[in-house]
Amino acid sequence: MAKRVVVVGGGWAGSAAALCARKAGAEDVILLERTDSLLGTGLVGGIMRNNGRMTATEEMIAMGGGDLFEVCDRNSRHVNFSFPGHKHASLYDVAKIEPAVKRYLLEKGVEIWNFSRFTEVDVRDGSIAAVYLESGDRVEGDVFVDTTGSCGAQTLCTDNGNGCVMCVIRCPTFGPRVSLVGKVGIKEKAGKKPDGSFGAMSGSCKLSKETLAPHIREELERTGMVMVPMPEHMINRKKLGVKACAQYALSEYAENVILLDTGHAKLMRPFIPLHQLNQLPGLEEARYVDPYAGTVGNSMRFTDLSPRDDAMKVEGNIDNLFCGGEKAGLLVGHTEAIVTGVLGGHNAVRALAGKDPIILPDSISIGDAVSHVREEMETERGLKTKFTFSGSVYFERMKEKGLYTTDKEAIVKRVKKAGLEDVFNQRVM
Amino acid sequence: MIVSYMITAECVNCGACERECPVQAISAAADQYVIDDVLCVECKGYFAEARCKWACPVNACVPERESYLVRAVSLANKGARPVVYKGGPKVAGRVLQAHQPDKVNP
Ligand SMILES: Cc1cc2nc3c(=O)[nH]c(=O)nc-3n(C[C@H](O)[C@H](O)[C@H](O)COP(=O)(O)OP(=O)(O)OC[C@H]3O[C@@H](n4cnc5c(N)ncnc54)[C@H](O)[C@@H]3O)c2cc1C
Ligand code: SF4
Ligand code: SF4
Repeated sequence: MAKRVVVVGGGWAGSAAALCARKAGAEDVILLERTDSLLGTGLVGGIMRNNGRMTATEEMIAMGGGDLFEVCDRNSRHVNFSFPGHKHASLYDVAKIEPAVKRYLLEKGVEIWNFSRFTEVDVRDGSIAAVYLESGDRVEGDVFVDTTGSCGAQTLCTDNGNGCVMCVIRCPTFGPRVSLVGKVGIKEKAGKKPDGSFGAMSGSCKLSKETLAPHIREELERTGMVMVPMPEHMINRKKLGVKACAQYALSEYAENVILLDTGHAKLMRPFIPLHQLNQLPGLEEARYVDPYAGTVGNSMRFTDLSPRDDAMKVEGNIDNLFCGGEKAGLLVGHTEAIVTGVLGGHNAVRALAGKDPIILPDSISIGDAVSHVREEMETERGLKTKFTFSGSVYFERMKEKGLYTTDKEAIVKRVKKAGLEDVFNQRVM
Repeated sequence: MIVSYMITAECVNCGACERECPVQAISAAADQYVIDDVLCVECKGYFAEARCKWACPVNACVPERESYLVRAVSLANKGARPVVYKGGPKVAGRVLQAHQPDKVNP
């Protein structure tokens, strides 16, 4: 019987892991997702290729694992535009991206299970034999990848945030996230806020574009971005400290309401009371579409981070468990989830085939980020930091180390020099 | 007539009730603590007020209400079946076909 790869959690990381497991030659790949859709937090968001994410994206394309970036490119509403602190960004259309990814994965032979929430695990002799779903189904596998993310559940959002604010993760309906790594008894880490409390609040909301004044909507659709200045009495510079995405802690973000066109209007703030938002010119009738209670808060993330090595193998007493995405550490973003998902999915198949894993060298920014974040997470300071190719401390590091470039030829050369050209397109079994 | 106490989704996983329960009817489940309604004696013969209700900091321990139990569980627990999408090369350009499989090894 063909060996089976089971990927638990269908966000960007899980979608990338399942796809790359197929590309690496696994015949039987099942992707389990608790809700009715793939992409998890990728159903909101949408910013790609900004700042150092351009480099990481092109590296992954050169290494042969860039399929999902190309799907995003084909479903982008705006390309190569700038907004404060960010250059050459693309925005994918949050309404169109899920069906596009689902179709792509199905074409490549991934079997997708929705309404399939993992709740229990069957471990035998140090290996996971099967996972159980809430529905009672037992799904057996030979290797497992935990890509359940770090969003929610109600206990985290209630204890460390402002309560469940009804975000796209929809815990009350589909049941909360469950960590596979946690279930097998491996101790996980939690990211912290600067004040030391756990988790971090997600950094953006969505407004219904139809509820914005026509001139704002028109400019948003034409240019991709609108900045609406805030009246002085509403400016709260402290609030930026609580955000998950440190790269947005610029004064432009405290003094304006910044909107990006991702199909809906992406509002670049963790939350803002609706009655305040409605005081801004042109936003008098603005309404939230995610989270529905964006008036008081946002989802909480970054607990349950898995200990792992640079091959994305989970460290501990289980020999057939890999991870990717937010689960794999404080590397934030769709791009970051895709690249670590590719690595986890590919190396899971290498493990099945009895081959050594691929570990990316630090001459490649993805390799540098994977090992740097792992090391930083050993420290208290690191646990309070969020890392992303797109800004803040890690983008600074990319620039210092000469890793940041938008020159595609230079990136292809870099990948060739490391002997990694097209590796993620090679079948290993 | 109450037959047992139950714990609502308000539970913040502090574990206070588990330590207090005189008949060890309370245990940690996937996302919160739960009361085994067979073991629970509503503290009759032990305490005047149910001990978990007394101990819980967020008032999550309440007399069992069937309507709550039926509505609060997530979809899968209500019997929703996995929806499985299978593809292959022919899937391009075709409407995605979802189907619900029979239980595998229940
Ligand atoms: C509001 C918001 C806006 C954002 N905007 C951007 C942006 O513009 N650009 C950007 O790059 N990043 C953005 N991010 C960050 C980015 O979305 C995440 O870092 C990244 O997508 C994480 O991907 P993931 O696959 O690791 O996790 P997730 O997206 O959290 O996916 C995990 C998946 O696992 C599933 N799952 C969990 N438990 C189980 C279980 N027990 N059984 C089955 N399935 C389970 C979940 O349902 C979910 O689909 C944003 C995040 C948020 C919340
Ligand atoms: S805000 Fe989102 S992640 Fe948090 S409990 Fe509610 S649905 Fe879940
Ligand atoms: S005392 Fe209340 S909150 Fe604490 S575990 Fe028990 S039910 Fe949950």
